[in-house]
Amino acid sequence: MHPILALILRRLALSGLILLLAAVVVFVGTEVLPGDALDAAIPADERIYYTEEDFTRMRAELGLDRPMLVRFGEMLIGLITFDFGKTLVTRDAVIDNIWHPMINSMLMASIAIVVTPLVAIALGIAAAIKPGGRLDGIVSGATLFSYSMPDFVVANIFVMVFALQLGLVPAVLLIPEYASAGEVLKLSVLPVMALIVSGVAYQFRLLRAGMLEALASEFVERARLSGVPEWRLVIVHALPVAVIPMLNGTAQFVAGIISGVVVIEAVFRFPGIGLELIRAIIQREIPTVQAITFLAAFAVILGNLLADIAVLALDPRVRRPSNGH
Amino acid sequence: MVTDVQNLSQPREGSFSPLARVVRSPLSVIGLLLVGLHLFFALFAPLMAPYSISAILTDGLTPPSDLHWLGTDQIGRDYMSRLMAGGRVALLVSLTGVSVALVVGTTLGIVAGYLGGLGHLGRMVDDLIMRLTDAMMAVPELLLIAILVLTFGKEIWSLSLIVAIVYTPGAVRVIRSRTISIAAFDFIRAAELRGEKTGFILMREITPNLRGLMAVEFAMRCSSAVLKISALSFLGLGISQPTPDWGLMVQEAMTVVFTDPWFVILPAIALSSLIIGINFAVDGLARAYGVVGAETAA
Repeated sequence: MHPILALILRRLALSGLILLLAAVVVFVGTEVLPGDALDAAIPADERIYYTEEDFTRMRAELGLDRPMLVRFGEMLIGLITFDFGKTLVTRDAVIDNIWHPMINSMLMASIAIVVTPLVAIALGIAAAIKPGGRLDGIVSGATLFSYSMPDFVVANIFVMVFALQLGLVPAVLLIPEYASAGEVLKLSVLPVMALIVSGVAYQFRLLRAGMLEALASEFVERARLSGVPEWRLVIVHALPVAVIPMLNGTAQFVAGIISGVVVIEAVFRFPGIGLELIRAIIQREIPTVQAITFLAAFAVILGNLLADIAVLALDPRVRRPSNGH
Repeated sequence: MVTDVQNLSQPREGSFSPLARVVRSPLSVIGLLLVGLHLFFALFAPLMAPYSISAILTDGLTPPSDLHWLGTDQIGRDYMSRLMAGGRVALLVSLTGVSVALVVGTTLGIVAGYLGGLGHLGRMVDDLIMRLTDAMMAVPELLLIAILVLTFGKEIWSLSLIVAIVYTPGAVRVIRSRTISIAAFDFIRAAELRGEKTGFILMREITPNLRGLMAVEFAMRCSSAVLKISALSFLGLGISQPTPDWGLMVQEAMTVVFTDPWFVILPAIALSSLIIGINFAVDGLARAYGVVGAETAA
């Protein structure tokens, strides 16, 4: 078999294993304590309306009376086959409840995932062309601050500046749950801007460090001595090298975007998966919480796998079979 | 003999100790001052605050006055007293949780990193630990914290426990990768050849060389934990009334952002200045200990 193909298959298998373990983490995280999902779903003050027989009957219906290992196996198979079961109280299919919010959030998240590295790369190039220059100083200083700003603070600042002071966009998003993709996109501008701030800052800092290191290395010096112009050194020679640490951080990047999506949706009341998760947690709707958390882990693992493959393409050193691990 | 890797890999600038080098960078001095200020307020807010954090003193929101320098909030509680105490829980939870995470994470990381290089069984232990950290880190931190709150509750001790659980895998990874590079040094080989016990090598040869990295990790994870705990209370899933918390205060004030934006801006500034302070200090700390970018980036 082609060695690269073997490496890719190996990473694919590893990702599958990690996904399986992530399902274990989600299950243990939500069901490690005594008491079951039903206890959690029905608030104490409503419990007087149910008799002990009602509980026994409902447990049997939900399959909660079976041993934990059986339920664990069932949930695991459910999660990895993307069958998320039914909600506890209303008995709706979980997937019907989360499908539309998920599409809305994926629109917002995928724009952020594409735009963030592009902005970071543009700023990184601008800063690396004249390290220590004015532009570099401004961007480096600004990212040092914006990297430290909480998402919800950034989002609120944007609301105050762009909506209240400048009146450019509505401050409160009113998106019907079944809005078309076009409408959602139009209203997503401000949320996406707030979402990418910390990611851009983080990736820029990684990229700038990598670029400066590459620009000081011997292969770039050789090219510089043979008369290659500085902008070409930055873009053609240093950038591909500096992008690798950024790509290696993809798992954290995607995870950060997902955490950010939850927070940003809460600020803008954006009808997405984040609001749905918060609702599910407050109502203690465990199957929905499990489904959303598992899908988030799935997205992170998938993003990481794609980035790994991109690194294989960019970096000849990792392609050596001995470094497969 | 205990050898210091920093001396081998990174020549020290003059005879300055790492701490002295932190203090030489203006950015980290600003950072340390901010952190010091915040710790001071967190410790002494109850003594300095003019009013109780939960006493209802007026009918709802009032502008600043002689009695209430920053006014009162929607429920009529003194805003300055609440603002001063707004970082206490998040800081306490982060400091205790991250400490535990670092102790557990360092132990597992050293074991995985060192044993991974020793034979088949060690390799299996290493693989097991690493795949578990991969799986935990695949769940975004905020989501993992949120589902654990569902399970453990949101008292101070449970939030600390949750922070400890969530931040352990990251610590394991960073410590493990540094341990692997330390284990490649000759002084470790020498200790092995002298016939030192594995425990001695882990405790006396490897651990002392991790101090700088651990200091940087501790500060960095604390800033991340404070952010996450505040975000959690902003979402209404964490610290709850009547405890004052900056995240919660921002959320409460969002309904009056059109008329009284200061109630959003002040806690936002308080929280951001704490995070910025820690991150600036981390920057100086990382430079002083020669811990660079990619290794700490997590």
